Amino acid sequence: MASARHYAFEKMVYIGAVLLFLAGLVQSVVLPEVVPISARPQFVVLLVVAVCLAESLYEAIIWAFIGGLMLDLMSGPAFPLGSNALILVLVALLASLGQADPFHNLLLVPLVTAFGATVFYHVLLMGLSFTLGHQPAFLDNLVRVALPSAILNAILIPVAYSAMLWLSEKMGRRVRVEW
Amino acid sequence: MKQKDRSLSWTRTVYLLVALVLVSLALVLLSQGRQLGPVEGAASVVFTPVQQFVHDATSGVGGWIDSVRRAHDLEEENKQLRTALDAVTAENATNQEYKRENEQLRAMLKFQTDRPEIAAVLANNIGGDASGQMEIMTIDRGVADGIRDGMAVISPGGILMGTVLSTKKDRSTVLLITDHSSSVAVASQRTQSPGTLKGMWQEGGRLSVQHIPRDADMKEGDLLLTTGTGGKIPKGLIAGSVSAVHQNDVQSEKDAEALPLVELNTLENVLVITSGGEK
Repeated sequence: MASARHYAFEKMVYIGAVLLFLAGLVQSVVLPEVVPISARPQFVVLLVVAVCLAESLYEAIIWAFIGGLMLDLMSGPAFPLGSNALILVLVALLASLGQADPFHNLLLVPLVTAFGATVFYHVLLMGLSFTLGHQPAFLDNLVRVALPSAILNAILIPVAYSAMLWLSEKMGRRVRVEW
Repeated sequence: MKQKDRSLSWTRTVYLLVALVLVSLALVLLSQGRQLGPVEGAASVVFTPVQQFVHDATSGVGGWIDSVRRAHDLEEENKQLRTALDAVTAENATNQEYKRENEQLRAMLKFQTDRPEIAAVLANNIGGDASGQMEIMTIDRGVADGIRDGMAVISPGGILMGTVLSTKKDRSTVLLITDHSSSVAVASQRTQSPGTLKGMWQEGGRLSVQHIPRDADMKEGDLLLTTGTGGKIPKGLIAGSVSAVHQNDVQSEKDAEALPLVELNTLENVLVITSGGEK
């Protein structure tokens, strides 16, 4: 029983690595090319939030670390390796608030969690950017980048969350469906 | 029993969280100290070709979307180009791709013939900023190719696109001139009136020219050339064109709006000026 659960967990991690690789590729190569404005969804953040809500903080931390490394390796050297990994692990921690029992069954929770986690991601990135000596446009980035991408992620989270629940069931990780 | 399981699971999660935060921090510090060159180099061998492939595959889509976005601004120009566009759309996708690449390389050759004192490295655009917070471009050349921070990056035709923000062994980040932290000394080609070209992308614009002396003669349509003062940007590179000039009675200086002359994000190839920028 324990080994079946472990096998399912491993499978989820491998599938996660592939999904995060694709999300990172879209995020760092396709979207900057195809979407000329700054309001873009943050697919890696979206996946981390979805796995956090559908699975657990433990899985979300692993996905966050892998997704962060993917983003770091695919982005240019503007940020050191590990930056996105660090930020996304903290984002996963924040997203785990959405798992709190009193809120767990509310329809609104995934939306609010995705919104908050995306804004938090951008704020941490700006903080890191400032620490590294860049000059982030704090207010403009918040208004023109963070908020629109948080709204887009909130719109997309039902799809990502449902997909993650489906995947989780397929992997035998859960039987409960409550979306 | 269930309570004990939950407690164990929570402890396990906390350990993992602390461990991965510490590993991430260690990676950040080592990467900042340029200690992870071999690891990043090995990863880049895997990631760069994939990114290059995906970038090439999506560049046509990006160009199309960009045309739609700018359709309003370019309405007049589009009318004149309609005939040419009809002919172009009749060509198949592969031919268009070859044609574009050929034009870029020819422009590059012409630029290098016109400015023989400038040595440049050809690089491929392999991506942008994943977060969307900065106007940056990732290129597939780095320290190993002689690229250093601050070097000027131009289009194959010789138009200034930005400067190298940071570089690793085999890839670099280019800060485009439209990013708000970009600042380049320029002067009007027509009157030599000086100004500072600042990026306005985060503010919702493209470029602005600031610190223009109040009595300077600068007007719409003027080409802006780099002055070569400070940094590693050579003198005489075209950086943009003035689209509007603003002045009021109170200010001691005036400012202007400007537009870049190439679509900065969609170029496939760029040149990094590695020497000759001091002149």
